[in-house]
This record gives sequence, structure tokens and C-alpha cells, in this order.
Amino acid sequence: MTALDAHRLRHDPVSSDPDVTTLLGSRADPDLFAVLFDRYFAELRHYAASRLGGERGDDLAAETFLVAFRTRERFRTDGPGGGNVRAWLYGIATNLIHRQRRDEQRRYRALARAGAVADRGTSGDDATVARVTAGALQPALARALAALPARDRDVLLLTAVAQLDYAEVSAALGVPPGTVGSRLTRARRAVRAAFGGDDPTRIDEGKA
Amino acid sequence: MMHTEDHVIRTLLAEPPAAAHTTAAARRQLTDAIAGRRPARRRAPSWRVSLTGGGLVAAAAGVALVMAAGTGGPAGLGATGSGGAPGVAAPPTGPRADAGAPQLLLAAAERVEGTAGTGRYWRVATVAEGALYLPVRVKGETFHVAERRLTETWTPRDPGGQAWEGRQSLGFQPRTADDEAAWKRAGSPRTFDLGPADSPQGGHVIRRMGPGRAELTRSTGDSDNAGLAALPADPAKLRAEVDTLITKQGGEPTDAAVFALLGHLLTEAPAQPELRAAAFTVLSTLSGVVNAGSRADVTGRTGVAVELTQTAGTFVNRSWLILDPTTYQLLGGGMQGATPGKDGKPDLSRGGKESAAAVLTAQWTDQTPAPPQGR
Repeated sequence: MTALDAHRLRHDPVSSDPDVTTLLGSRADPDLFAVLFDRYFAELRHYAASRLGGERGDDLAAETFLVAFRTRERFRTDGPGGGNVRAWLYGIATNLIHRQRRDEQRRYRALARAGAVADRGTSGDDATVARVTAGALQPALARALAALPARDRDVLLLTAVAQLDYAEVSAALGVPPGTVGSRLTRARRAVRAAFGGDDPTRIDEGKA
Repeated sequence: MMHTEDHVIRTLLAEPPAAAHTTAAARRQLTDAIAGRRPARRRAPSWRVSLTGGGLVAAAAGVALVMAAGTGGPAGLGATGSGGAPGVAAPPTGPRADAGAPQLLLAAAERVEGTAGTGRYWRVATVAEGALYLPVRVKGETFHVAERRLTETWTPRDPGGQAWEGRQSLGFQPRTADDEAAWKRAGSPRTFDLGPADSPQGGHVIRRMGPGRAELTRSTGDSDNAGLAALPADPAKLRAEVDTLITKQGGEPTDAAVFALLGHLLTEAPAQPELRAAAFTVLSTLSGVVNAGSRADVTGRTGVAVELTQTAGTFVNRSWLILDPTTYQLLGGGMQGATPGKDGKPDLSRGGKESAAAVLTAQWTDQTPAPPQGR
């Protein structure tokens, strides 16, 4: 975005960002909100599934869009850049994931079981089918993620999995960009230590 | 700038993408919420457990109003159905079954206030029914199945005591009479294959007719239903809080929205007698609630239905409660939302939302919490 765009966004109520236009439009015409679903469901679900597993991730991504729809009046366009719908959605998803902390920890425990093969549902009618996890690094990563403070993990996974930049993570979590940077540094250091060195790919060789 | 470890993290945590039907179900949840201009019905945690297995996410929204004869009915609920039979004689001055809805609701309020009693736990047992939107295809036949789930809450009288929740799936059954006919033509299978699971391994999602395992767990008290049960038991305060709650969820506190929320509170939340009485009292003040005549609950018990229908844009929402016509005890309730059919009622053949539940027990007890015993 050019400086001129940024200037216009701050001063012009009609945004040039198609996401923001859609979101603002959905306040009067709710049907428009489905456009945002079509645009972002897959990646939000990818993020949620990475943290909670496939089935919980399905649920959580669906819930994210319901919450986003209900709270669309609260989306702010007066922040830096005129508001970022994608970051806002990731913020909602991240908040919802916090409520499922036990599910997230359970996921990391499952991933940490080296060579885990079968993860069958325990509920009588839950026909979850076996899920294979592989990769020698996976248990180490899972343990490192489980041990991270939630706020550091949020920043790391929003960066690594969702591929948000500092400004977007900052918008998603409502924390200053500088804080994002320090949390990310701390989290990366912990993961790198868990991988046993500075070059994780070196350990990965021949094992995955 | 992509750090190497970021790439590793992204790769190691990656899950296979959502199945198309999962995405479609999630989208339908959203468009239902959009069409209804109010939140899609929140799924109870117990439903989450059973109905999301294999990625069958939003499938939980459905219900069959009356189970087809021969496949359902109250059989199998006997062990938990102690409160199912009308237990309290109606006051001799009570309204007749053809009385106006407000009179019936006020009688229900009076009746439930009389439920006060001794006992260590306030026990509520509810059977909720959810249909799967995914069709089962066997031997050239196609039909839908519905699941009944039994949930029991045990709320201690002592506020510092431990609350418990019991859950059990009572199994899946063909949904409507048409579904049952197709099911019979397909050889009356007792297991239902709902298609490929979301799994790198393949495999299929299988649902069964018989009951599942019963579980009893400590309640954490942070569920939506527990929140509803904590609402104030004074009618004016209750109405104000309900309005606030609906507004917070992005809806408008119309009479229809209030009816739907209080109906859910009465059928599925562990609300105690005083709050139930207040809820019935608030319901009696809503406009547009009508006596819709005789109707069966999801376990087949017949009562008189009080119902509210509201059109919001291109969407019709219909909510109802079923009362025993002589004791005014609550038997159950439900809701439907969809675009209107020719009769002005929600036409679910084009998609929509549905749910229904029957209250088997709502009473104080000295029993010790135990897993449900549906058969």
C-alpha cells in the first residue's frame, strides 16, 4: 500500500481494501459476509487445524466465522492501514483457540508421541480413523510448543502457520508490533533449541 | 522473510485440508446465521463430541419432529424416564388444553414453582435430537438419519459442590417416515456409512443404531447452558438479561428471539425451578405466541404446543414448547428456521436449521450422580 492509499484510508470512510469494503457493506447487507467466508475459510481452517487437529479445527473455523459475523459491528477501520479483515479473523480464531487450551495441549501430546500411529476416537460412535504422524522433529516441536507461554505461541504460529507479518500479528492480537517482535524472537529461540541447533533441516535429514 | 524453522513448523503441524462436505456445512452454518439475522443455534458440547467425528461439523443442526413409528418412540428411555410421566395433579382451576398460550404458560410457571423440594442435586435429563444433513446411500436407496442424545445434569444444592454431567448417544435412526421406508427397502441396516472420513488414511465415517457408551464427567460450569442456568430468576430482570444476551450475540431481542432462547433454557439448560418459573412468566408476556394444538415431543409423548413464528427477511423461524395439557409440565420443545414454503412455515427441504429436545426429568433428588442408562 502506498502512502497515498494509507492517507486515503484514514480519511475516506469508503475503503479501497476489498475485504474492508465487503465487511462494512455486510453491516447493511449481511449476505455479503459469505464472501469473506469463501475468501478465508480454507486458510483459517488450516491455522485452526494446525493447532487443534483436523476435527476440532473444522469446528473452530466454522465458529470463527459465526463470531465474526455476529461481531462485525466491532471491526475497526481507524487503526493503522484502515483495518485488516484477515488479521481480525485470525484474532478471533486465536481467542477461540484459547478457550480450547486443553484440546490444543492434547494435540501436542498426541504429536509428541514419537511414531504415533493410531489416534482413534474414544467415544462410542466416534469413528475417527487412524491418523499417522511422522517426522523425527515432530515430537520435539510438539513438546516445545506445549511448553511455550500461550502469548508466545500465538505470535509464533500466526507467523509460521498463518504467515502474517508483524503488523498483521499486531492487529490480530491487539499488541504493539515491538511486543510481537520480542515474543517471536523468544519463541523461535525455544523451538530452535528443541530442534537441537540452528539448522533444523540438518536433523531432519533422512528421518522424515 | 521466511525463517527455516517457520517452514518446518508449518509443515509438521499441517493437517489435510477440510473435506468438501465439512466446508459446505460450515458455510451453511454461517448462511443460516446470516439468513436468520441471529446466531445459528449453538451446539451443545455433547453434540460436538459425537457429531463432529470424521469432520461432520454442522450436521448437528437437525431434528426429526416425530420419529417414524417403529423406529423410535420412548422405548429405551425407561431407566431415566422417572420424570417423564406427569407427576403432579393440575390445580382444579387450571386452563383447558384449548386455552390461550399465555394462560397455559402461566399455568406452567405455577406448576414448576411447585417443584421445589428436598434433595442434594437438581437433576435434569434431556433427550435432544439432531439429524445429519448427509444422506446415507445403501443399495440404491437414499435416506437421512437422526441421532438422539441423552444428557443429564446434576447441579448440587450446595453452591460449592461438584456438578456432574452425564452423556450418552442413544444411536441413529431413520429420520422421517419416508426415510424409514427407504431404510427398510435397503434391508434395514443397523450401521450407516456416511462416506469417507477426513483422514490421510481413508476410512469411512460409520454411525450405528444402538446406544453408545454412557459417560459421567465433572462439569466445569463454563458451558453456554450453565451460563443460561445462572440467569436471574426474577421475570423482569430475566427479560432484561436475555435482551442483553441476544444483543451481545449480534441479534435483535425480538419476541421470537426471546422465545427461542428461553425455550432452549427450559429444555436444555440445568435451570432450577425458580428460573424456570420466571422463564415461563416472561414467555407469557410475548406477543404472537399461539396455542398450536396437539403435538408429540421427540420421545413420542403428546402434549399441547405453544408456538411462535416470525418472519425475518426471507427467513421464517418457528419455535415451540410442548406442555402436558393436564399438569402443564414441560415435555419438550424445538425450533426450525428456513425459507418459507407454500404454507408459510419453514421449508427445510431447501436447507435450514432445526433442533428439538424432550425433558425427561427435572427434579430434586438424593440419588448419587451416575452415568445415564438409556438403552
